[in-house]
Amino acid sequence: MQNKTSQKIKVGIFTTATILLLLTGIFLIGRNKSMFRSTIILYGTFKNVGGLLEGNNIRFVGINVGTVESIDILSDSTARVGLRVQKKVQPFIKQGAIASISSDGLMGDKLVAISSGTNTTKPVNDGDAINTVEPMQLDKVMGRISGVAENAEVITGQLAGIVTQVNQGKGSVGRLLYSDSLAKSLEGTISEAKGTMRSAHKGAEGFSENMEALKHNFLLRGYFRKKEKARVKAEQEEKNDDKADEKPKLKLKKAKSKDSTTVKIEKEQ
Amino acid sequence: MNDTKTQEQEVAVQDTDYVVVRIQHLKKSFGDNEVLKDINLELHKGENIVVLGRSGQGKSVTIQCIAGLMLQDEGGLEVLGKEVKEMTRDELRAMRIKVGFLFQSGALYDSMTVKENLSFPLTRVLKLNDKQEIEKRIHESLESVGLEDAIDKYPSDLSGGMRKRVGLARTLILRPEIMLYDEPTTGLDPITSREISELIVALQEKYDTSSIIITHDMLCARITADRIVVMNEGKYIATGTYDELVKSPDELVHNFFK
Amino acid sequence: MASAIISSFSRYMEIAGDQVLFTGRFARNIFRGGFEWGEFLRQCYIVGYKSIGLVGITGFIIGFVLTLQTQPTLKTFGAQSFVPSMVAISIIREIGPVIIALICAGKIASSIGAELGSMKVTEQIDAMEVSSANPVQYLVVTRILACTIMVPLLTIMADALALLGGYVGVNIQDHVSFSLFFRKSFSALEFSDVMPALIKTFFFGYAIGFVGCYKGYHSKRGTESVGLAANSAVVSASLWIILLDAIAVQITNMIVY
Repeated sequence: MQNKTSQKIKVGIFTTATILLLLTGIFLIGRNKSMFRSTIILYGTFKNVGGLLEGNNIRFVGINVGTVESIDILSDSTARVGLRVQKKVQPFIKQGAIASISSDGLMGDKLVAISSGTNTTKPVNDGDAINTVEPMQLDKVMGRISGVAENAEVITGQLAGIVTQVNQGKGSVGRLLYSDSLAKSLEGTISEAKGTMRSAHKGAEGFSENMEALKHNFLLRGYFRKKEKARVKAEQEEKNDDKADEKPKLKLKKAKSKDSTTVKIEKEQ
Repeated sequence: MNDTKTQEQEVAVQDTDYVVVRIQHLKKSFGDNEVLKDINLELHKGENIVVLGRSGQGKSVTIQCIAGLMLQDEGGLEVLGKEVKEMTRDELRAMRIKVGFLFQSGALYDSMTVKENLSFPLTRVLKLNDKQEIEKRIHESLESVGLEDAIDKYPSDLSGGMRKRVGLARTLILRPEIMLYDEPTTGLDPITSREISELIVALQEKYDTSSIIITHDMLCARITADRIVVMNEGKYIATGTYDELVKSPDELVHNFFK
Repeated sequence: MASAIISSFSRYMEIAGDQVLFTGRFARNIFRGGFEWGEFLRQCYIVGYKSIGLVGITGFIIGFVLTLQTQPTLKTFGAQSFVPSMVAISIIREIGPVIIALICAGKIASSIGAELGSMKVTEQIDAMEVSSANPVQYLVVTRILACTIMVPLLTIMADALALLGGYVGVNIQDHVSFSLFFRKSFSALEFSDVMPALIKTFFFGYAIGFVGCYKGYHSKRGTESVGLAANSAVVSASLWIILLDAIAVQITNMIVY
């Protein structure tokens, strides 16, 4: 009979443990879906949701604070997006807050970003509609790029004008490049400077001889030896540090190369 | 449950001439193999019938039909005055409590101790809940087969003879009126065979049962039989007491008694 | 030729009908009263507790290997941070339930098939029958129910260990904190991933128990039929699991999406 009791206990422990595991899992999933927390709902209307799906994340100052609960078509040109947001961030979202749709990283998951609005200080209420900004459209982006290109044209035109003036010897840069007198006076200055340097060099040689003599003086010998040791030690430490630094450097390089690929991809897009 | 009571009363009223099992023109075949061709048998109350026959001739099929493990193709088979084929589920259940079946191997439940084996039919079939009553019956039953020491052992720890005894004890614990023995001495040494055979006779007298014993063991037949039936090719070819059949001129019968 | 096809077809139909009847007997006997709690617990112990080691090791290694296999591929796409989510979704939706069910088919269906097969051969089932005890209630109901309940529990345990294995796998090459890994795994999971997966494991467990019992209970007499019962129990149970999985996918897609 004892045998059976121990079997029962083992089965009991196993069953309880696995059911607890399941409940923990369900709780963890639910927590991520903000299912077991008190939430509020906000609405935003967009002309174009740009492929937003129910369940996409909502970010406020870069923190995930909720998920998109619903997307309903209101009319032929507007869609209303229901935003399920944790109640604890409610005080921070003011009534002038602006919702915008953007995408998350390379994989292109859409998300709704809520940015804090201007001038109002009252927090939003449950069920409020908040202001929205339309997601950036591709043609708009293209329009802006063409504007940038026009600006670039103007700038390069002006640059060309400057270069012709320089070529003509106008202005200080042009004079530097094209007038002989300035070059000659510069040469004179340089040769004078050379003379000064030479005498300074001689002075320095004399000083080093004096120092050598001092090193051999028994009174000061100890001081110089100590200094020498300290120098050697410092060198060795420096070497060790170099080794230790190597790995992080490599990582940095990798990261850099990744950045460059992402930049490339962005350009391609 | 009413049926059981009326049957009990019937049995009590009738005297020893009462036929507990009546088989008439029983036929049974498996596919094309006709195992039982024409079996006729009457088992009277308090009688021990031994069915002799060579192995593989379907001797066991007869008693399996009696116990309701198989249904006959044709013919009549009455147990305690009722046709087995026409019994309802409850009637079959009631009949099986009255009919004990000892299997060739003893058929002890491997995963249970001897005690649990014996209490199994008590708690499941008779629905007994009183622990003292169960304990009492188990001890009584094991005592009658002389195996009280083995009560906490598992079947795998028992010898062949001991298993048969425990199997016998388990069958008898329900106090059956009819006992069916399927090769009770197969695979046992002659000494144990004799012990088991003598035990069958002793229990027969103690519990006042009627029995059908299927065997090909002559020693067992001689000890247990009131009447012997010889079976050949799906038919019973001779019947009589041991002494009568020894003198039989029939060659087939004579072969058994050489 | 035609007659051979007809006879094999009718043979198949006979088996199918027999299985339906067996299911009916099982279902009737659940609610008949006098449920065999002791035997049921014993079976839970044998089916569930005794499989913890095998299932646990399998689960852990599946998660570990799956992570190591997917990590390099996702790395080349720069999507390394998706490793936990991918591992979690693939294990919990599909790999965990199916592999654990197949492992259990190998371990449990075969042992039930062999046990009942040998009980049949040594006439223990007949002995229960003739003593008016109910072998289906005692042997079949308890085993099938034990499997139906224990296999899902084993799968839950294996899923958890597989996630742990995934965590260890990620940490061989990179360092990811425990809480970040699990946060990422669970943020990818939906209830629509977990619930259908959990529900189908009940059916897997039932299939394992049912096939094991059916094959064992209906094995022929003779010693070699015990081996045959065990073997065909494993084969049919595995096949059933795969079929049920295919059906479950269809139903899940219909309901959830």
